Amino acid sequence: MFFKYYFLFALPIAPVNAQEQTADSNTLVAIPDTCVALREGRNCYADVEVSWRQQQIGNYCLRNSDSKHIIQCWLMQHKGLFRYEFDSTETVGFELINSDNGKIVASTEIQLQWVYKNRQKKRRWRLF
Amino acid sequence: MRACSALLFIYLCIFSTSSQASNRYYADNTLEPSQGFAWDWGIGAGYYAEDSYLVGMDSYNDGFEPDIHLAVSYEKFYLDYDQSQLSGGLSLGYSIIDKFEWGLDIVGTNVQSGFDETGLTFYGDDVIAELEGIKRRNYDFDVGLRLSRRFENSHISFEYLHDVSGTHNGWVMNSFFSQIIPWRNWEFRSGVGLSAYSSDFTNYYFGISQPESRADRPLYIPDTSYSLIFEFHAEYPLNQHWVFLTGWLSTWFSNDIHQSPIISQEYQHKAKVGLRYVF
Repeated sequence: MFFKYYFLFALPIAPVNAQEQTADSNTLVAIPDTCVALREGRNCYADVEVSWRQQQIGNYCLRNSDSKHIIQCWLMQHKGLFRYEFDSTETVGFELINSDNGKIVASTEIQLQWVYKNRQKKRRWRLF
Repeated sequence: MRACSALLFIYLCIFSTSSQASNRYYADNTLEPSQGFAWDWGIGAGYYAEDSYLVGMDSYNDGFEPDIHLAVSYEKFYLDYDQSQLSGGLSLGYSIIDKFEWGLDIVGTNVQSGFDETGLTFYGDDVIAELEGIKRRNYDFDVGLRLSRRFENSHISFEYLHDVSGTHNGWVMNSFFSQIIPWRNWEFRSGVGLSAYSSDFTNYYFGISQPESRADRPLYIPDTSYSLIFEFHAEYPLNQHWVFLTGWLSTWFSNDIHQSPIISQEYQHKAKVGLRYVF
């Protein structure tokens, strides 16, 4: 009886998956910076905000760090925000480049994690 | 004392199932299966509510249950113990043939939860008046073959199992169709199944023997029986270690079960919500 009614677990407060911003530095931040899928191999979904800030006004572009695909560009700005729906089976990296010289000025990534790692082909769950 | 508590805890975790047992078989065939040795395990707790089919039990019974799960696979062997989804049980398996989306396995599992005059929960200590005097029905362990066919996210399986524990010495046949539907980070699983139980099985669990019979509990010798099962389950990852679980199970029983003097109705429902920590 004791175990039936009192076997409770405290759910720890999950850390907010955001990178700390330093007030005076150039930043590129993805919030959340982690996406958790239930099983390894599944696509993970999250509504992500990628924001950037630079000390100098200029022309900047956000791109995928692996494919180098340009996602969005800003002209004569010192900050920007890009919202999108994360949908991936692997970690995705972003780079902010100065479009005048092509140099990377900041980078970040959205890490993919999963809960269950055993992808049994023959999984037998018993419900009752 | 501490050792006794640990043993009691393990016992409760394994035998705290509380309703008609049934075994389910799901597979997400869109995933590349793990190779070699792979395992997951976790613990948690859940709140359940059920409408039990045993006489004398409250039509609305609820409470908290512990949850332990373990999934291990190595080459063609696999072991699953999962109690989170409204009850638990140990399943062992070995894949004999796995080709062209067809599979043939040797499986061993518990099919039916035991019960006694205190009801379905062995850790309950109050005798239920309507069940007083019945002998204990033990948990069985059945071994047999399963033939299965995989589709992209669904699965159909047929099993023939026979009790090897000496509990009822009968057979059980299960057929089950299941489907996994991922939606965003949720996983929804649903299934329907039809099971047949031998007269030995049915008589052991639901029959009334001469020593058990009394004025309001006549002798009862049932024949082969059947059950129809529907279930739904959902899981959602809260973070890398915590998972939210919820599920629903409905079972309908054939006449040979529900006409038993210790069975109050021809159906049983159970729902559960819980949290699990996966290591």
